[in-house]
Amino acid sequence: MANYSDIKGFTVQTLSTDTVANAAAGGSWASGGTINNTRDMLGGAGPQTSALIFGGNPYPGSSAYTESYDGSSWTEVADLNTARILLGGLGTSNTAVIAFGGNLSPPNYRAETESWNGSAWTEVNDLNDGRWAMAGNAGTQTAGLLFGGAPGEVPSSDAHTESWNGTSWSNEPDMNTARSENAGAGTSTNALSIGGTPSYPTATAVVEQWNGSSWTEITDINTARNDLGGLKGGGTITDALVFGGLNRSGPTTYASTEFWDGSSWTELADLSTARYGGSGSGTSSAALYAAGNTGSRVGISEEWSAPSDFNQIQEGQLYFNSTANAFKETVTDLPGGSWASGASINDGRNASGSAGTTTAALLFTGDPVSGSPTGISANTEKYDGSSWTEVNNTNTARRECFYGCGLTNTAALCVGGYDGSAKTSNVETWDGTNWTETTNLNQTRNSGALVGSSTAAIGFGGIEPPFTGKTEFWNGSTWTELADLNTSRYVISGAGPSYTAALAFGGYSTSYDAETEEWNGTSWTEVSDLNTARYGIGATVSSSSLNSILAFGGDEAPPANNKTEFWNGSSWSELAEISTARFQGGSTGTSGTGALFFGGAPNPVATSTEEWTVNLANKTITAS
Amino acid sequence: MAYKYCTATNWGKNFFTHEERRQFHLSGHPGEVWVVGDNLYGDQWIGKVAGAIKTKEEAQAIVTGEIEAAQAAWDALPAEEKTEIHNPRPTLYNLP
Repeated sequence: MANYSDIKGFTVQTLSTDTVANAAAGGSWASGGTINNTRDMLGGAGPQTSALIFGGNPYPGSSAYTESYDGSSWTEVADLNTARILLGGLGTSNTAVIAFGGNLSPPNYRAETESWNGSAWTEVNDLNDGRWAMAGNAGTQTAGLLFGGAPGEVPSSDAHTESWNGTSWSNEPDMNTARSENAGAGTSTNALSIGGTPSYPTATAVVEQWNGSSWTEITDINTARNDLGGLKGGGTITDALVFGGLNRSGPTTYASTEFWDGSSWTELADLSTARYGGSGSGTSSAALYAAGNTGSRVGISEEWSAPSDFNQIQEGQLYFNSTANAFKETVTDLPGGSWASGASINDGRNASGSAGTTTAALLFTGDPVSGSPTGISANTEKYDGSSWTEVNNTNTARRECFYGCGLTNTAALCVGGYDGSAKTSNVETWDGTNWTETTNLNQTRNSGALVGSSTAAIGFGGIEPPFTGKTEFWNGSTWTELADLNTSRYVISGAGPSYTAALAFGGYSTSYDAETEEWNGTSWTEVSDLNTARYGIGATVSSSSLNSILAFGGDEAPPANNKTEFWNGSSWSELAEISTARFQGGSTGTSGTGALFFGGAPNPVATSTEEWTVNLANKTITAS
Repeated sequence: MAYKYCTATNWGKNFFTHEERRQFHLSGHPGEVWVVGDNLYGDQWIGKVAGAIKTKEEAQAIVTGEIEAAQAAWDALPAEEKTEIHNPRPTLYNLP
């Protein structure tokens, strides 16, 4: 008998806009008032409905023009005392602003600071070091920060930082990367320096975070650019926007907008008109980008608005978008996944062990020497989601231990390997602080793989010699031999949720291997091969399911490989490639939607880390 | 994605709104050229701003002419200003 839903059908929610991840993702740019004096390279500050722009280049020369915005139209007010271009600015409204630095035409780098009270500019204390091209500003008219800029003629740029206490400027520690034409966001004690020009004419994507006393590099923006708009006087270190900008290598002018949520940069809706050298200010929910240059100076402004009322994206949701006239389904967008740079490890090496997750990882032992395998290491590093810290060494230095296992960076196994003079069966356990020697493997070998936890795992493959398929079970105190792999091999990779459910893939026997085998707790069964045979492959070693595993990098006869493959439980499919081809790096991850790949070979041994992320996406359903 | 092309003068506030930006593609180019997503909402916006419809070739010719004029202005700058100047020489590009 038919049930109700078969007869009446299902009700599908109707939405006028797509679901989004957060309020900012639902934002868009609309036209704002047109300024009175078209120009670029201007200063600006203040929120979207109470902003001030000043100075700039109407060409030729420098201007002292000041205009005030009420959220609808721009009104000319009293000029700056000193006309200039590419100056800084901070303020909380169009009645309380400071303007500082800049450049006159012909070149004359300024240190003057002027204070605006809503009707007139008054000169106050100068910058310590005159400079221009320094839109890297954060804070307010009484507690501000200036970072970067050009202290001389093009192509100069520096890392100089000064803080403003409402009365005077003080020198602060430099940024790590010197640059001019950067953007800023945040406060005088928690700020972001974004993009810019470190060396004319090349733009950078580097972002640094200020904590009140020092700068630390964090995740890059997606598109390297300079003269981009930012949230001067607004935003936070976990909530910022950048938009527009230029890359003189081309040159290319951008319309793109990127949002920072404290962990990653996401591209959002574009400006209507690509341009650079305008004045950006406001917040991630209400920003303003005034004037600029599209190849010619323009007087337009655009207003960003991200409504607080939005439809939250949810995996598996089905809805009808009445604006696009399309049925949509929200899915995990594996084909749209990508690798981004992450925090570098301290000691570059390959053939190391690793364990944990993408936010709590462990790297131990390995070969720190470039070229042929000659070195050994006992070094251990711990990752907390943002940086690597050196912790206590293993008792036995080695390389080519089994790829590690363990779901955290506080419990792991270091198994077998080569100690510099011979292969070893030595095993050590990690308790989060120290390594302790425990029961040795039954079969001495190196370059095998492990799946499971520090108290219940299987170790398989490796080279004794000969190449071996031996599998041993670890119960937390002893090793017991179980059924062998079908294909004996070494530099093999493994992943899976436990000692009773694992996947083994890749490696080297008589040639580079593509074979994949699945373990059910008792025996290994051959399943579909990798698309590309190779060894030393990185993997989501702690995958919680045998239906969602990633394999990345590796070596294929040589050279190093940059391929990423996804295992869905029955076959491998190719996804976006890693940026730096490498093999025998450390790797972690718990599913196909998140992974870390760090260190590895070939020459020189790598210190870099790459992070794999996959977002949800709304896919249009089409009739077949 | 299909587009329409028009010229229209940006009068400022409410020339295009947030809602319109979510309803159709819109990008502005030199010469007051606008590339507009070809759907009902895009058509309504062209009507609202009294846009003068152009073919893609006509729109491209306007944009190219504007950029070439900007290039000529840049080329006429004194040599020392070209090295000092913040703005690079404008480059030609194709409309989508």
